[in-house]
Amino acid sequence: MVNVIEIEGLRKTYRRRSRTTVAVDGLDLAVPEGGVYGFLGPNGSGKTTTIRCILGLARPTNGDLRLLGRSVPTGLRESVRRTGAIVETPALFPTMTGRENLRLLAAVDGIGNGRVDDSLGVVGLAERADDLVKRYSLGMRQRVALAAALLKDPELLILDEPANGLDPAGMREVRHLLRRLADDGRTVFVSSHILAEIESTCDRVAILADGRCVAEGTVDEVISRAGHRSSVLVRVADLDAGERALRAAQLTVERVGGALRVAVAPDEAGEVTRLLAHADQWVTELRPERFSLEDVFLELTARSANGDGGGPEPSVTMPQEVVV
Amino acid sequence: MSLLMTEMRRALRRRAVRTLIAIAVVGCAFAGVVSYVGSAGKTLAELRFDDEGSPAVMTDWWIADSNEGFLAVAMFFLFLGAFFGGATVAGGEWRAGTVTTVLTWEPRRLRLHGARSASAAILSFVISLGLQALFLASFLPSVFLNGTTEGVDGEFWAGLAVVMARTSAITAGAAVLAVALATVGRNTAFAVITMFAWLIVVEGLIRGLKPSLSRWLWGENIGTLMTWAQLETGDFERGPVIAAATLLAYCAIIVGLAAVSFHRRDIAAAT
Repeated sequence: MVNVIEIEGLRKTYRRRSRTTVAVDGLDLAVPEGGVYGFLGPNGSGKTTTIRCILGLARPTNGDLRLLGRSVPTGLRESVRRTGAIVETPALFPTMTGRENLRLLAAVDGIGNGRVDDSLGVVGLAERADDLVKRYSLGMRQRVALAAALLKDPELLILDEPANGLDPAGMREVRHLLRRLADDGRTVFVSSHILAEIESTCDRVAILADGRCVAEGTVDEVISRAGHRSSVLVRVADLDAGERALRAAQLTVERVGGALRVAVAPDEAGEVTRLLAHADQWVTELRPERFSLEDVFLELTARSANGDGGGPEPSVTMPQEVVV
Repeated sequence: MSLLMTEMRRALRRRAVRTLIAIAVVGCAFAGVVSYVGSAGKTLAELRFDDEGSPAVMTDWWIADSNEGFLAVAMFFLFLGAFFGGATVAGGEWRAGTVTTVLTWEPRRLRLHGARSASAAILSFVISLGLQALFLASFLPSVFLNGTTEGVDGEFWAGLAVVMARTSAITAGAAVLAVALATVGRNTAFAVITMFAWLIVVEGLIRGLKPSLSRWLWGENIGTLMTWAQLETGDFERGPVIAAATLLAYCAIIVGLAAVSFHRRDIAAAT
């Protein structure tokens, strides 16, 4: 599979007076072509710095970057032509309308006005396109920035917190838009801290903490490799009898409040009900227990902050240090 | 070319640029009214022999080989306006963070900086030329109704055209310089404060303490260039060609520094 973004040993430090701050610390990352790739991390973890390095806005202290197969910064002009990007808060020209902003940017690459109108339509801003940007809400500015990113009909979209400032309906629209763009064959690289959004939208994720990648893979891989296995919670009248019956079938069972947690995948719940029924224990409640990406994210980033986990990882696997 | 056009369009949409142009236009209209009222009811002899000259006498608009004439007033304000306009065009981009946006479209920073500087130069040259023409045109009612065009010939018009072009070139240089300083400091205030601190404080001190070094100062060289006449003081002489070369060298150094700074430094978030 072709990688649209390749990062090897990226390190970025900033010097302020006599202090050196490490923003990114030996990051390795390979973003495959196609799909939505979530780039997660708490504030100050190095997400935006990494994006700035990818786009040539910041110079890496060490490391190699390739964007759409071309080296950064030497081949940046060619790869930027095929990349739409939003970096942090959308910076637009406030005394121009949304449409004028897009037309000016489009003119840099010789893109016609028809494409501007199309992009405004895609982000749902056609009706307010002729208002001055300074009168826009943050959410509307975010939409203009998204429209600007779409102007080039890009193969790759790099979006830094694209849902910032959007209301719930706007977030859902953006989520659907990102999914639709990925389904069209584009790659969407999106940084966010809204984990529920990422979990429901992304095909793969990378989690950054203290400038290092602490987990990478599909959402399910990241969750399961963090030690959180799927399970079901089941209630029966006699918990002792139920527990004995399930243990007898070599299942891992533990008591959680007034229920039993059984370590099986939710689609194997039928086997649990069969075993319990066989022991004359009738199920009064059964529900899958699923760990969210947020659980894993908080756990991994907290471990990294405590200094007992993390570190650069070479592939799509969870680093050994963080496996529970 | 498209980048240059984009930069020019964007600069023209800056509120500060539009405000400066509007102030200049109002100033021209005001000058025209004052000229008309001041010359009304006076005889030609009174106008002609007025110690300070009169804009109703067309030959007083610009007196060759001197820095006298009514156009000299416009030159000073044009220089200030071009400098402030250039600084605000570049500084405003840093303040708003739009530099980041543009670089995600044109990542070749030297090219972008070149386009921005060229756009500032072209716009300030054209605007300056237009405003000088407007300034002089505002005197036409007083010339035709109260004054005279006597003494105006082809040589006068040619001289006037040359000085207007020269003034426009100087204002273009001021705008480019302002863009460079605002790029180095990444804001408008840095450019304005640096320039005026240098012109007023540093050059003032040098003039007072080491007059012989004054030949290298911006003020003396700009003055020599504007009048296009040999500047002679007790301490030194300065010709217009040397003055132009000196100013060009200063501009080239500062623009070069700005280009290196823009090329090498990280682009941070909006300031």
